[in-house]
Amino acid sequence: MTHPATTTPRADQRSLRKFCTSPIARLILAGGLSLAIVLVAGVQLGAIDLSWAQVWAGLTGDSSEHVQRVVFELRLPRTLTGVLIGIHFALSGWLLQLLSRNPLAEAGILGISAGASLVAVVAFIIGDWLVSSANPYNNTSFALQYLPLFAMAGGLVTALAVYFLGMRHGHLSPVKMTLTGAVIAGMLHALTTGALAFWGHAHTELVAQWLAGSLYGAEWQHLHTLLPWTLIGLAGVALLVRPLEVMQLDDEHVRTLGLVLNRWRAFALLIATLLAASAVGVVGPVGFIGLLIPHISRRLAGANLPVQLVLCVLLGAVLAVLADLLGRTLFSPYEVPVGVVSAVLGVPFFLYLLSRQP
Amino acid sequence: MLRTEHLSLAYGDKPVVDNVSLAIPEGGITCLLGPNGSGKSTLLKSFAGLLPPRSGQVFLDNRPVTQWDRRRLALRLAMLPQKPIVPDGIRVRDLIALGRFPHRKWWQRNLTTDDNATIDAMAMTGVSDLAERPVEALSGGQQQRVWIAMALAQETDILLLDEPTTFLDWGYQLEVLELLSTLNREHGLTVVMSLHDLNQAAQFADRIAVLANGQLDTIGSPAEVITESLVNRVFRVHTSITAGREGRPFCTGFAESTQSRPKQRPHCTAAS
Amino acid sequence: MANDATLRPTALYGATVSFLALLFVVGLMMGSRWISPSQILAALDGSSDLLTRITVLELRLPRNLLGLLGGAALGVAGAVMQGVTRNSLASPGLTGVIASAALAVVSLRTLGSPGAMWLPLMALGGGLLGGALTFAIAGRRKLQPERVVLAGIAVTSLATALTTGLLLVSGAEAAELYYWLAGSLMGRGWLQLQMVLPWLLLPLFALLVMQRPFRLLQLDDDLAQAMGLAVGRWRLVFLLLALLLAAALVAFTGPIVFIGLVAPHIARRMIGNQIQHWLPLSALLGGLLLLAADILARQLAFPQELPVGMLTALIGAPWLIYLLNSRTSPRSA
Repeated sequence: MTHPATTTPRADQRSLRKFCTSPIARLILAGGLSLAIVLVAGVQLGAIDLSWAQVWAGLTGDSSEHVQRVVFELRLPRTLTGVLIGIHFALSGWLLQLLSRNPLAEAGILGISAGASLVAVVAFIIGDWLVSSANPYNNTSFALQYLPLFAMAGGLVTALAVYFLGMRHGHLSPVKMTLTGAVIAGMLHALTTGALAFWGHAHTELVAQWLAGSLYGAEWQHLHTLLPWTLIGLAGVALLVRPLEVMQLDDEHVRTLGLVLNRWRAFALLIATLLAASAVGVVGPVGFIGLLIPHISRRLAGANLPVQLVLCVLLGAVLAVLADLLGRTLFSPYEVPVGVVSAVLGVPFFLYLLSRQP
Repeated sequence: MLRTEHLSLAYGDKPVVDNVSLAIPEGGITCLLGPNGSGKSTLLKSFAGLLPPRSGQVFLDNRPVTQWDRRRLALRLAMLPQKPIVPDGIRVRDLIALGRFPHRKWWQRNLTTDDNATIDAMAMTGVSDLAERPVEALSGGQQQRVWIAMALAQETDILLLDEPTTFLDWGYQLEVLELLSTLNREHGLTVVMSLHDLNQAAQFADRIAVLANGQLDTIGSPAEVITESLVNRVFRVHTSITAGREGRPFCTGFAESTQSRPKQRPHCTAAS
Repeated sequence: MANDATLRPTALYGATVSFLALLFVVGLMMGSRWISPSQILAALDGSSDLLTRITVLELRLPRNLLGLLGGAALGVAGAVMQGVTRNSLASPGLTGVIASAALAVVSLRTLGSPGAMWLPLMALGGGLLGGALTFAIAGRRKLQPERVVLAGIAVTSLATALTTGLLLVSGAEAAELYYWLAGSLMGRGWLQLQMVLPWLLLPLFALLVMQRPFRLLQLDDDLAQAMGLAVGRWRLVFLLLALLLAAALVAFTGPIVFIGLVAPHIARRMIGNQIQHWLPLSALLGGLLLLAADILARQLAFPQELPVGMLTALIGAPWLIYLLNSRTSPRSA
């Protein structure tokens, strides 16, 4: 095929400049700014409100031990963990919605969170039973270290089951996968509740806290456990962007464009599961971030997948930290868990979004 | 280049195509005709390697299609399914650019050559001034042209189309068929498509393959294939065949039960 | 297809009722103590010892009755929902009704100490909100069965999240509420049965009377309207009745899922085209399933009791997955 000679000698430079002043860049900037604000607020506000100066002093080691402790051992790790889980859940939801062609999908709905929760709860119960010493503090730190791993195992097994049961005629059917996931989620949730009820132990409250999806007691240890998975997840998602663009078309079309669909779907499911399940292992199942954030980023970014991705990361972090902040401060000294706040914030907003759709 | 040998296809236990052997001529427009359920769609899918054969084979360049690497295959043939999904909010330019996927490694972004191919494809199908509009907002005919542009951006020799005109208004149907005809004439694109309308097939195809009950009934030029006896046998319709434009056959039909001759009604041979 | 399995109605009813009666008796016999049938008879006519009499009359009899009626209520609720929405996946569980009703009850018990009579009302209110939300989210795509279920799943997630959160502030009641949330018939006696009875019997009776409009609604909307049926209004009435049945039960037993989905499906398979038997048979099968699940719940972890909701989920889920795999589309058969 012949075509007229191209006449843009410095196309790269021009397009870069065009990008920086485009509405997309402004969106990303706004997102980044919101994140920064929320981060600072997260460290400043709480049961005790710290001023800017105190925070700075705390960070540079130039203040009272009490302030330092609040900043370093309580607020900072908690807020940063919030950032990570926000990213995890938002990205996981984004991937799953694309994968299942269902804008109402997310890890909780597909049963991955439920699978992760169940295994984590069972591990906790067994751990509690094995280490039947009288000291409750020993028990919790033992279990908490390994919870993410158990949770991930549970999440992966569930994801595998949902994937294979979601096949029709040898290819993955998004609708069937979603329905199967929901059924499995229901079953696993009933099992988890049943196991807890049956166990009926004094530690129920601790597990209850975790099951509500909570950042309570999040420490540096949690952050360290989670961070490698964040990096793996981000890398995986970056690899997936171009294939995902093509995967939006219908299955046959995608295949005729040269994409080996089953392989890529499996990979996407794997990354989504790793992200969701690792976060569940650390803070428990937090719904709604994965449901809501992808919707917002799709609204803002349109059909541009890379921008959707960036916005999911930024806005997911914002929502998680914000929800945690509100949960900590609104009904002080009671704490409302992140999971609940995000659900309460999420629903009206979600309905508003849906009402605007054609 | 593209041919089948004793090809049989089935969905589960249900056999759909039975022992079909045909060769698709290079550089021509081949049309698959046949009543509903005759296996046209299924046959096309097997050409694209989307359905493994129950028995027999589909060959592209003398190699079985199922043995081709997916990406290499995507560089030789492009397929347009019957009811393609339009991703939410995507613009014309970006949709067409997706057709460049097989040309890059999957992690690479589009380069200048890809952008040029996209621009060319838009020019060839006449949708250049629609480039920035969302695909969902276009008319049926415009959308179909965009899909064809996407297949063109793929830069293949062969284009497969599954009933490209079925859901379009008559004017758009002709628009699409004339576009395909032009692409075939001026760029040497091999076109294989399934159609419902016998007259459209007669008007635009170089060769017609007629399928009935999953078997190949006849294959040949329009004049050879569109005969009163064939139409009667395969479609159960009585026809009278006249000469249409360029000497191609044109049929007027009436159902079997009617005994009397039809009244003289006006009929149109159209050019859009 | 469904027609192959069509059996004569009398044979069907006969078999189901006999099986049901059998289970009922077994339910009276089994428990922390094994009580033989002769002892049961003795308890009924007052000639047994006090312990046996109390166990049979005060513990097991009302519990079994509740299981029977409750299961029937769920089965009918599911059948009604599936029938009037022409969506074979519609059921109180999958449309968010059960989870929302449970949330309402938990909120009431956590934030106050209500009289037991308020519970069904709260549950109804919660279930109503949840169901309405589901259909609102499904929006114009209501006509696609999968969309309603997907919306229902989202609503269920929300209700569950809020419920879990509430449990954290429930303090001392938490353990008890946890057990309640797993769905159970344990400790339900004549008091609960008396309270829930009107809520169950009235809708059941109403549905019995409204058989003809129900049958019409299962046809095409336009067709039914052409026959003079105010389609929208009747559909709403039926859905409200189904809601009432499910929510009232939830108020007393906690959430029990899958029965409202599975019983109508099995009933459909058994009766084929004779749809006039669908509701009664769904009721019978629902009762049967819940009784069976309760018996298992009492025995499997002897001497402790498993929550019955856990068992219905364990049985129902694989069955539903099998169902998803054997059909090509979830539209009503």
